[in-house]
Amino acid sequence: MKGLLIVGGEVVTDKEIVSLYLERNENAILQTDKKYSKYCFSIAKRILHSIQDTEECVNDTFVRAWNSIPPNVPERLDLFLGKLTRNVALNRYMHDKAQKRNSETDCVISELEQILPDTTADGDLICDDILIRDIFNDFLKSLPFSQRRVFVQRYFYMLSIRDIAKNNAMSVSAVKQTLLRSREKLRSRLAKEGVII
Amino acid sequence: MKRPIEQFGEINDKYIKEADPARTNSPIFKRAAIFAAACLLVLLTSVNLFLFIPYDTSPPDVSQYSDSDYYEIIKMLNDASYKKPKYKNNFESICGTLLNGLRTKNDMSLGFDVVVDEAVDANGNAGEDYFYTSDEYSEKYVETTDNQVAGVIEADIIKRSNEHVYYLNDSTLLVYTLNGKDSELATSYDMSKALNEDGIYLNGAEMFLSSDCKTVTVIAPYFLKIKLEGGSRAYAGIDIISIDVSDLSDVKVSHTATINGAYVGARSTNGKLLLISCYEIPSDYTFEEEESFIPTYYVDDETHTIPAESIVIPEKLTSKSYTVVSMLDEKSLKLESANAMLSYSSEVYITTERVYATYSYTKTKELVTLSEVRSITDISALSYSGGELVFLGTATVNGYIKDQYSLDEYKDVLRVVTTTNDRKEKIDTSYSSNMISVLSEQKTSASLYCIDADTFKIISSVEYFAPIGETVRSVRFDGDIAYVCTAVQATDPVFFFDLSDVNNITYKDTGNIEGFSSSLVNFGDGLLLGIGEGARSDVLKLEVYAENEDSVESLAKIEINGCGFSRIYKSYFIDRELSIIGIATNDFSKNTHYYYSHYRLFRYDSEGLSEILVCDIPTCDDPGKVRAVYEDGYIYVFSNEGFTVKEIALEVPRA
Repeated sequence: MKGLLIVGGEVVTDKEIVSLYLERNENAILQTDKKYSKYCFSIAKRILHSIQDTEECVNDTFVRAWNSIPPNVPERLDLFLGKLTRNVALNRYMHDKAQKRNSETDCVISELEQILPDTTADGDLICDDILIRDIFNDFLKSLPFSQRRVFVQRYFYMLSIRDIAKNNAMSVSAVKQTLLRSREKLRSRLAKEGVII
Repeated sequence: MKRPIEQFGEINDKYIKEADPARTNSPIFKRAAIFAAACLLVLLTSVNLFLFIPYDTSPPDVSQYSDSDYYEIIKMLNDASYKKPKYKNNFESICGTLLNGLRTKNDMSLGFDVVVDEAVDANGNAGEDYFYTSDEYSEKYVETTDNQVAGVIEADIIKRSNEHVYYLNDSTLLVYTLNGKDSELATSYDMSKALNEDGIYLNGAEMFLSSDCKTVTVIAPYFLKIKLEGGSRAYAGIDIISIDVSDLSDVKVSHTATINGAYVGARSTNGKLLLISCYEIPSDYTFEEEESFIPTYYVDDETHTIPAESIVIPEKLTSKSYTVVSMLDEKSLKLESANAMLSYSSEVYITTERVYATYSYTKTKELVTLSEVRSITDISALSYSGGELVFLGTATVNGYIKDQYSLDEYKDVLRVVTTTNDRKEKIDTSYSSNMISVLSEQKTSASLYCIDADTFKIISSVEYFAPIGETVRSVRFDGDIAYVCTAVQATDPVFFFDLSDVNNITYKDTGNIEGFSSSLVNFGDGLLLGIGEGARSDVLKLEVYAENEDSVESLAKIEINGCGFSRIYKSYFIDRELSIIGIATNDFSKNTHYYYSHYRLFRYDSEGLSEILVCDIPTCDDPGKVRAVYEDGYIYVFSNEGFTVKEIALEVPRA
């Protein structure tokens, strides 16, 4: 490995970290760890709920970041790492079904899959991730800020109902109601788009 | 193919970012911030309302008194008493209070009642007339006071007959014999022993001597403090005391009357006593009680308020006091009529038939960037010739009146000389928008007006005849001629006005002369005597003026340096026949560092103006209390410290 690159004795900016990645300077991982390990850890822990699995997941995230930058040149490193961590954690979770299942994570996954199954009733796969992504984005855009925040915290950040309520100064029942109505709206939107019947 | 939960991971970054649980845009904080903002908004609104809601600037409603005869006075007093808040709102009030501190105001209330006792003698007997007929008595009245109007005698502290001099030393009447060097005090009478023990007689008492020389009528102002529940109340009053002096060995009070109020002056004419007083409305007046804000008088032990139709009220109040004119029978002291003028001044001019009173105020004209402020005087006339005081009308002139000598009625024309005072005021914020300064451009001058005495309309006028910056110092009318002295500080021109044709008034002046005259005396033969100050206030200056073809010239002048002297016109001894003037002075001695009083006689003759006598008199504090009489080669000088007789033979000067 190349020697440590410390600029001003402080953590470097995201842009500088990305530059390190692009220069293939292994210091990029050190800086990433220094700046975003807690962030990635919190995302992964909500999904995996196991400290050990979470730590491993975070390490995997940094490796994947090293491997994906370049060609990717993220404008927002924090969001890039957040998504990467989520995906790594979800993959890990789904592959660890038998041994390390968590009821909360299962709930989140199943709630969404009740609206958007990965196969049709006839058993055909629902494909076109881009279409789904666009529908999700349009759907979120249509929601008021508070509802959108609740929905994303639930299905992206995988927060529990209780944590969402606390984070948004809402009651648990209000969060449940909000999620229920939001899922109904999503269902309507998907039906309108012909993704589901 | 990704699962929905994985597909959801591809949503737009901005939604991920805004939903980040770790971000400070926490709903809790947001709600707290909204709540705090709402509270702050409410607080700011409340504070703004408290600070900036303007104060109510309208006076209290007095429509409940609309049935009162004095409703116009009530409305006027209500508006005048209501003090608009100094500041517009609480914000200005707080800032002003912090900057300026608090102010306090003292207010002394004076009550007013007119009490006319039944005519009683010192023994309590009533009804009989104590005035003797003149043919039983040889003493003859001799006028000492240089009255402004012939036939209208002004009260003074000295009166005389051919045999006696009556001198009023505050509350003590002193009667002297006129007998050259053998003159002596014949009797004295102390009036204060009859006064309530809670009262004291004030300085300023004056008197009349009846034409038969048997009665001295003393007008004695007093001050009385009456104890009430919770405190005391002060009253200013005037005792009118008729003293029988027909028998000097047995001087006694024959009649008394009392008017509450402050004494201003008195005149005696045609058997009537006209008393001018000032009634100050007490601070604790209430519209519920008319007697508390309307001058009252007693008749047969009953209290009466002066009727509304006998009260002259101006357009706006400049003071909460009345000038009251009371007409009494000179012998019985019974009140025959009374009239009050609200907010009028104490400068009153009285003729043989009328009383003229003045009311000065300012008028403001708002222009675009400045205001024009002008002094204005209303002159109101009352007639008393019919045995009752009746309001006749009001004339309005620019400027303000100096004293009674500024008015004169002659051949149905009222002539008035005023000091005009015009100024322009401009609000200037150039220094700071938070500061307002007033630029004032003031112009004083003098004006003369001729007013029709029947219609009270100005017939003609000469306005602003004096140099800008000068004020009227003295005025004297003599038939068709008016003499006016104006001055800035220590220089004066003297103006001679020819009023023989009021539609073509002409005048001449002396130009600037050092000093100024506080009194002008028509000295006969077209001569004018000015008595006043020289270059400094401790320089007594006498100067004689005469009119020539083009101007007014000074014929003679004399100055006495380093002395104090009175500006009271009645204190001067003036004998036009002998052409002499007498004035008391207090002179400072550089040797002893002490003041000594002298009485000085001056004479004007063909050789000019000269001092013919300097007479030592007992040292007195107030030269204005000194009076003199000349009789048969002797000058008699009277003061509150004693009297002096000096022999000096004088003849009528040759022409």
